[in-house]
Amino acid sequence: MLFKSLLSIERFLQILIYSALTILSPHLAYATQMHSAAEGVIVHQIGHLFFLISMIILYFTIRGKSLDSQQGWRLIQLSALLFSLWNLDALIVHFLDNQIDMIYLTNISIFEAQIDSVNNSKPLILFYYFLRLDHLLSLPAMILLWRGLSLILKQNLANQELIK
Amino acid sequence: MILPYLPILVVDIAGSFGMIVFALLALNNAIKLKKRDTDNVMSLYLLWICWGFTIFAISRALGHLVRQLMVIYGHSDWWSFISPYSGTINTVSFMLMGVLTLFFNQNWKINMKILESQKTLETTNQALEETHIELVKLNQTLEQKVAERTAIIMKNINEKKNMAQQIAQADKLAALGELAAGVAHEINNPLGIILGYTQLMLKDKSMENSDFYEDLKVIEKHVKNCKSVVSDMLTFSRKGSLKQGIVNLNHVVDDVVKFLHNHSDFRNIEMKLDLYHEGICDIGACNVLGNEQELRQVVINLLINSCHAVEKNGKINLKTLLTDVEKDSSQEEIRCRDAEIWVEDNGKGIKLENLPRIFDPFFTTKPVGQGTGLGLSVSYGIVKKHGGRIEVKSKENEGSLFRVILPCASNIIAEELMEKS
Ligand SMILES: Nc1ncnc2c1ncn2[C@@H]1O[C@H](COP(=O)(O)OP(=O)(O)OP(=O)(O)O)[C@@H](O)[C@H]1O
Ligand SMILES: [Mg+2]
Repeated sequence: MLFKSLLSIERFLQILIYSALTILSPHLAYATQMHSAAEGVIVHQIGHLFFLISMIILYFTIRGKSLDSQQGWRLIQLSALLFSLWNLDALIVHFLDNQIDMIYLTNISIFEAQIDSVNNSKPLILFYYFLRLDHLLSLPAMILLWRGLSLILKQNLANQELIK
Repeated sequence: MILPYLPILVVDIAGSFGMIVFALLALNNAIKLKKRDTDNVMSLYLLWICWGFTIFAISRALGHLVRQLMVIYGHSDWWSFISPYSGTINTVSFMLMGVLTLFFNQNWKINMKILESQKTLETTNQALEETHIELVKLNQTLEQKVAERTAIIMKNINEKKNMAQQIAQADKLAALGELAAGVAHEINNPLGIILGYTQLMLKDKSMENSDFYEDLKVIEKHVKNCKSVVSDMLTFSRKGSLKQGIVNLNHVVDDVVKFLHNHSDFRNIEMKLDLYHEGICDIGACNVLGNEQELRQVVINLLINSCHAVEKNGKINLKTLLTDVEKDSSQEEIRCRDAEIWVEDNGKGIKLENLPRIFDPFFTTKPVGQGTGLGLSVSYGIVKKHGGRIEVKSKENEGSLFRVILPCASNIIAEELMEKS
């Protein structure tokens, strides 16, 4: 079972690499259609990538300036980490269903959905399913951002009191 | 593959909703922070990034909410219409956040530099302030120091002046002493001859009834006076050699008072004697080293001067005392610094301009024939010879105080000397 899932992950990685090649290969792009749907997806994906990189940069910036010695900034750092993970999550989801159309999700009812993959890989489908629960990453990240800001504000107030 | 859709739905709806709420809360915090810290680049960045998150959260959440609602109400195809707009706004907000974050680092650096220069400015200012305070302090102490030094210098100058005056006085007295001694010596012999012949003539029985007898008596009296003046001069010039020994000042004063008491000049004068606790003094503490005869002469001179100075209701106080007495465990005096004789009167006092001259030989304010002006100079010579000094305090019409200050013969020296003798 473990071996099988490992195998499928390997295959999934293979697909990832192939599709990356697809994004980069010019003759496969819909060159004649100037503002195609694919272009929108790629712009969105690059946006996510940019966001992801900036969040990682924020993480290391906070560490580099040793701001993480303060509780508030530590929370914001954690938030940046979660946001970057979320970006990765979203990148993969968009890649799978929008970009290479590997996965199809069809709602049967509010309670059930039919999810299929091109190669019928069950781990891939499960992987996709969990990735779809992306708010489990973004909401905590947002809460951490808010908490961090609250703490910074509080410390700022305390500092000002001290100066008085 | 059929999987439950509800988790995705619930997480999407609740998550989107939560995203909006917390993005707004975070934005609120960021706005407050920016208000407190208007100049801080960091709070500006936080504000911007919160705006970005808010825009992103709202656009995305609205998109997702609409999408899920469409799913619920079976209009999934509408989503494909809205999705590009929501997606585009999302993409733009991502880009915005990325750019902001990339700039944050740069802004941070600039901010740090500003803060640093602000700090250096502050420390420089502070250092300047400190230097200023120190300068003011130094200035103050300088003034104080100058005042102190000036006081010391003034004191030194005054002391030097006094010393110079004293030296000049001593020189003058010494010169006069030499002169007086020379004159006295030259006059002494002829006087001796005159006195001798006069007395010889007086011894002649035939002269007794002669008219010249009274004249000879007058000559004898005045020659004797002359001789006493000359001997006074010799004493002043320290030419006289007299026996040295332990002298009790109390005895000296007592003797002089007893001697002068019957004198007619002292009849109307109230004399008060205050001897340094009599009895104990006899042990030796009140002793000085010197010649009793000479010291008696000093006291007599001072008393006669006081007697001349006072008129009716005249009062003269005589006192002996010791200064800086050291006592042993049994309250017995061991040694002292000085022994003093005080002669105080309430007479006419000495004029300020005369004060520096009263010790000069032949200085007198008395009419010709009454005073020779030698009394104080002779006394001065005697006291000087004993290693002491005479101090005067006088005020016109109020009185005078003469202090004869002599070094104490300490017990040990006294004993040694007594053993020798
Ligand atoms: N106790 C005193 N009160 C006021 N003046 C004094 C006193 N003692 C001394 N003097 C002043 O000092 C002068 C000098 O005194 P000093 O004894 O040397 O000479 P004198 O008394 O005038 O003459 P003599 O040679 O007869 O003593 C005096 O003429 C007098 O003016
Ligand atoms: Mg006199």
